[in-house]
Amino acid sequence: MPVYIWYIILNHTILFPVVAGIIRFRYAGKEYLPFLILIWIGAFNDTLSLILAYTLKTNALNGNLYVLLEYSLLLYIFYNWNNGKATWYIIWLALGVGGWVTDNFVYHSISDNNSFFRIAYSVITFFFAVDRFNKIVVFEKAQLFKNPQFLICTAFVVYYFCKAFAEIPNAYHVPFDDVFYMRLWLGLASMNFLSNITYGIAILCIQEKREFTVHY
Amino acid sequence: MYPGETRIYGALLTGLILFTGLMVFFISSIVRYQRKRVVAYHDLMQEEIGLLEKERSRISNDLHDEIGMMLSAIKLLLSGIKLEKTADKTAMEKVTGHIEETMLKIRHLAYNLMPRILETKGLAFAVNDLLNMISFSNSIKIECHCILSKGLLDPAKEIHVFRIVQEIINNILKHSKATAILCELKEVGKNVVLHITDNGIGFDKRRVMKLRQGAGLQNIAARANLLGAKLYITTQHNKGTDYLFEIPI
Repeated sequence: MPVYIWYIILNHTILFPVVAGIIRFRYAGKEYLPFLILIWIGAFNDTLSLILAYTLKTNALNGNLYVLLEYSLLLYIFYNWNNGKATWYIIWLALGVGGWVTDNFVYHSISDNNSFFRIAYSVITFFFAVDRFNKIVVFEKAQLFKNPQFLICTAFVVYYFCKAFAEIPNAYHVPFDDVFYMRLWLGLASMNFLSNITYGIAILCIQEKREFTVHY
Repeated sequence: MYPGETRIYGALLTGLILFTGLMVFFISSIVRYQRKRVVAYHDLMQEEIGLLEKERSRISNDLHDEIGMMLSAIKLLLSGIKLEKTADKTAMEKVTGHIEETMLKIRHLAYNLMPRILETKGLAFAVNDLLNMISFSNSIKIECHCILSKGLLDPAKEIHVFRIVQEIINNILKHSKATAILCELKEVGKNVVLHITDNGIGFDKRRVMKLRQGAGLQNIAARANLLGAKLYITTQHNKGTDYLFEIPI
């Protein structure tokens, strides 16, 4: 089977969390609704990218717009989970928008696949996810593998860690051949596949009633 | 250098810096939350033990002031009754004896729950008093060198130290088969040092901790932790046990 078919299949495993999200939609509430929206938008973008890749031979434009939307939603997810100060998240968002504009309009063109913003937002997401992950590991008393936030953060940590590194060669336009880049993106798609499975399980773990727990 | 080589090195360097940064953040984040957890645990322990001591103090006061007083009143009333028959007098003596015994038991109980002497005369006096009481009622030889000015430690800390002494002595009497105990309490530099040693059979520290036996030992460790004290326990089979606490003032 050609590599690009594998690439398409691996990326479209996002349909699993999409379906899980539809099943668990009524239990999502404020805590998980932004995450479900992120998944649904992600699925839409993957399909759109596929269509555009076949028709216009590029998916750079929607990809560049999608990463900004993804970054905003990720910030909103962590804002909800951490009960944090809105000001901080607005500052992070403003910095992200600034970085995105610089990457896509000042240094490069929006019609290219630009990686600097992708590296930056992956690192920021990694920071938020690691912080949340550690907090859950240290303080949570219930079973971790049934905790949706723990599962989602685990997937975020692994995926965005890999994504930050995978984007580096493209950001520097390192002169490796197409096979290298193809394998690199296939590797990232494999991580995406693992993340999608984890997201799906996490969504299925969302409970109707949640226990109220306090730190001890 | 080939034209693309600079880019490769740039990418590698970025990757290396990124990796280091992410790892440093990961570790520092987990350390930060671990510290928060320790503080939260410490606060909870303090709260729980504080409540326990408060409740003990209340029960001790009730026993001493209310039941003790009532028994004294009963005894006084009984002494006012004039009996003529010898059998009645003997019965009355027995009743009075039982009342006195009960009063003594209540006094001991109230003392164990919360010794008033600790509040009025200080830690060193209370420890001396406790050990004197134990040496009276047991065949064990107890040597005590407790010299500490009153008020050197906070009252809350004094209660913890007193409970530690009670717990250790209780452990020695129950398990150690010791014939002699040495207890020292003194000020050394910026610390109060509590040193208790016995000549008993000792115990296997690892086994006790591993099998989660020794609730008394865990209680001692928890209180030492609340005091911010350093605790050293040295023990060997048939060579006794040595407890050393360095409690910051």
